[in-house]
Amino acid sequence: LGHAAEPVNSNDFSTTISNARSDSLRVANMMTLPFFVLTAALGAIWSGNRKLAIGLCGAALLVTLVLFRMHVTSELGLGL
Amino acid sequence: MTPQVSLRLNAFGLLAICGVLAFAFADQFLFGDLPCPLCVLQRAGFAAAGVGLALNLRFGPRPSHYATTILSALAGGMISLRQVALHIVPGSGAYGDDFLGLHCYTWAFILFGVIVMGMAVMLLFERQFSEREKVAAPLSGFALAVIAVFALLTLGNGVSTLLECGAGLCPDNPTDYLLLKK
Repeated sequence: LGHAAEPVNSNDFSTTISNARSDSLRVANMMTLPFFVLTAALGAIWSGNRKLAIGLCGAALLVTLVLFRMHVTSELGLGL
Repeated sequence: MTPQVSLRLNAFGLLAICGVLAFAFADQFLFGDLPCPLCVLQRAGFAAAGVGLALNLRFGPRPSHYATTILSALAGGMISLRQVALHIVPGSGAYGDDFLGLHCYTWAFILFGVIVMGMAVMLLFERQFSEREKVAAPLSGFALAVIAVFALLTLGNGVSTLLECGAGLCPDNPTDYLLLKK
């Protein structure tokens, strides 16, 4: 407690993990992602892979909800 | 309700979703009404709801496919309700032009509600799920065409969103296509 945070070496493993996380976050930020995942789900339907299609649809929904959460940045002015 | 009737209704349902996505495209390209981030997510909700119906058309009607559509419509409804709530207070403005007196996000909320109700009604007819009634080749030419159009519209939305927002979050009030800017 009370210690200043040590400077992080750019070669540090934790930094690598952090970069990987920010990279994956950047990919999740892509608003186009749900549509491409859903197109892949339709491809799975076409090829007869039902479970994969349902899984991809679920993943697309999850990404959509994450993107929605990112856009909920202000409080609603609905006070009476 | 026999599986054949159910499949026909599912095909018409998917066609209706294609109509919604096509209308959104027409509004975007003919009237230059660029979709806001929440509008894009509502389109994704419609597309995800359509995948459930496409599953029914390809593999025959199953409760899990209807559940996929219901969950997608609930997610889309939640997003559209947020946008309705953003603009519901007088003086808080609106996004885009209205259509038949209601804005697109209000229509989206209504349509998501209709989808949930429609799927719930379809689930009432259990005969469509019985193994004896299962059809051998459920994919008719009409269903095939509807799925193909739906896939094109879904992919088109992906490309359009990529052009508008690039590889990131869309701006709150988009005025032009990010990737087409010089």
